[in-house]
Amino acid sequence: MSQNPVIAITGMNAKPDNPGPGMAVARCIKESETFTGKIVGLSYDALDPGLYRPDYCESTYILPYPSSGEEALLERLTQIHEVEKIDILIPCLDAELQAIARLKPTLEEMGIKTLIPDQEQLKMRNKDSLPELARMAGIRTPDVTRVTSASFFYTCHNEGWHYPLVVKGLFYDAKVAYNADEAAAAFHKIAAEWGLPILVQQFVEGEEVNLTAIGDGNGNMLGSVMMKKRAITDKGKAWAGISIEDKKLNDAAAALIKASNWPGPLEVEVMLDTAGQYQLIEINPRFPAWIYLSVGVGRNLPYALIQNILGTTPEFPEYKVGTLFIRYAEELIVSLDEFESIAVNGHLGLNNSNAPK
Amino acid sequence: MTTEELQDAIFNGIDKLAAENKISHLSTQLISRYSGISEGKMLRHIPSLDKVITKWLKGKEAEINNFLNSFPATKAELLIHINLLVNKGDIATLLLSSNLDPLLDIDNLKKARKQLEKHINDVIKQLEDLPDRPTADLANELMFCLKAIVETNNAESQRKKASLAKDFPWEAENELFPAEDILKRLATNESGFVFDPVSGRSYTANETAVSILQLLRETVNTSTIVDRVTEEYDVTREAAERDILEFAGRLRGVL
Repeated sequence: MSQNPVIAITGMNAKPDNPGPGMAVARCIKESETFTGKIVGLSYDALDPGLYRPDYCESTYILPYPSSGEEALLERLTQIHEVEKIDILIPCLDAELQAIARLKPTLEEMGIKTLIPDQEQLKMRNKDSLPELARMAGIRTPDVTRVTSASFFYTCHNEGWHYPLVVKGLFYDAKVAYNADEAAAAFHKIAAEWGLPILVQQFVEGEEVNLTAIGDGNGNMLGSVMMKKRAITDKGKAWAGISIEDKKLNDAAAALIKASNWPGPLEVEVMLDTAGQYQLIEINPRFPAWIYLSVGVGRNLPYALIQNILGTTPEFPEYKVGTLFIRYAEELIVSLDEFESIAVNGHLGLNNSNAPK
Repeated sequence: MTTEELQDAIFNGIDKLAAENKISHLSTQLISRYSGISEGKMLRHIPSLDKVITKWLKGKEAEINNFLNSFPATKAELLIHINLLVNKGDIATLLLSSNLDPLLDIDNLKKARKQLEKHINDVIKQLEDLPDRPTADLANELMFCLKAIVETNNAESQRKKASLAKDFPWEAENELFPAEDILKRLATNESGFVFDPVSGRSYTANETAVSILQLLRETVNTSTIVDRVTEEYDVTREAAERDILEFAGRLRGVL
């Protein structure tokens, strides 16, 4: 592998209320003092801002949407690889993880390394399998069940469920319902968008805290950064947050990584309930959008991931507790030529790219 | 599985439900979920669930009678006895919770509840070193504390439960302030900025509050804190006590 590795990063979308992690991951790597490689940004929409940031990426490409299938994705990655000679791929979106996990052996043959969970490990963190993983790791998690009919919400009290309940899509979307009518409405809305089954989870009252870390694939947790959201967007995403250090949460995440032999980045979302107990809500198989806080506290996790893949042992100094991040939106000016290049060619050379214009 | 084994499994399921104070609405679905016996199996083998529940309650009444008949007479024994009760959640729910299924025949339970109150009152009357308050008040405070532990599951009820393991509610002066480890972890700046590195919350405090927070790192004894505050500030002891109690309440609410 080259001394100047080429890192491809997906998820360069950044709508202010629900940004993808790609731009933040690229920013972390670029700000590492020892990184001398190149970053290739990958995204799905011509209006994703990360496609136009020369300070983050040397070149950027449009990928076919995950719904186009793995073959289309592999074909496009092969085209990009022929030009860019990608060394490491860091997927940053949940929806592409299954496909990339299946393509992993082919990508490895092509010389593209990844550190991601396999399909079985991804299934373990699926919302409906979470109770089993939580049990293995000795962490509480709210009850969850699969539902295929809205009539459930009118009889569920007989089975011990009580409102409020969280009505969730299998992969995306979640709404808190305070009575059967609200739950049925949420059921129909989410089912129309994401299909059946719908998951129903007991609502946990408390405060959300998040942790991000890297699993080495042998059951060890490499570094960790914990964050408490201080302000959220309408979609519940962090808009401001502060680094915290909570040994109980750290131990819980380490137990989850150990129980699953998790390889690669992850985000653990837990609620501290009113009884002071942690309840596992979700595991995301990627870095979170707030990953730049890891640079802020002195633990650059995306760069540590690259070091780990390249065979160097990353170092994790004590981190700065009480470091705040505040997210904001700004306008990026894009020339018509750049927009045209992405819209027509699905590619933009931003800085010293060896790719054809 | 024999009918007896089936019934035992159902009894265990209702025990678990009672231990979690979830017997306000006993249904076959709920019992099925907690006993691991499918509803179909229950319906096939158990002709009347009502009769099974009544039989379960009779068994529990016998346990309750044993508990009440062995009621102790000394402080240490009383503490052990009421801790046994709260730790054995099913009979605690029957003796203390307001959320019982209306279909349960609770005539005997009502008598048992009155007996429990009387026993507690009688034992407290014999205790020494009681605060200068009517014993009926103290008995009520203890009953209120027990009910809170049984009926709710939050940080406050957990704290009450832990405290009750060693002290009666009126003796738990040290519980006035949040736990020592929480107070010690706070980063408190002279400027009045206070940061909790575990919860991520920050607060602003005035000069007096900052000095009390710094004192709390050394001691949570209220009278020592009152002494120090009256030495440092021009304030009467009564006023300092009142303000410190109010501040402790606010700290418990936010930390």
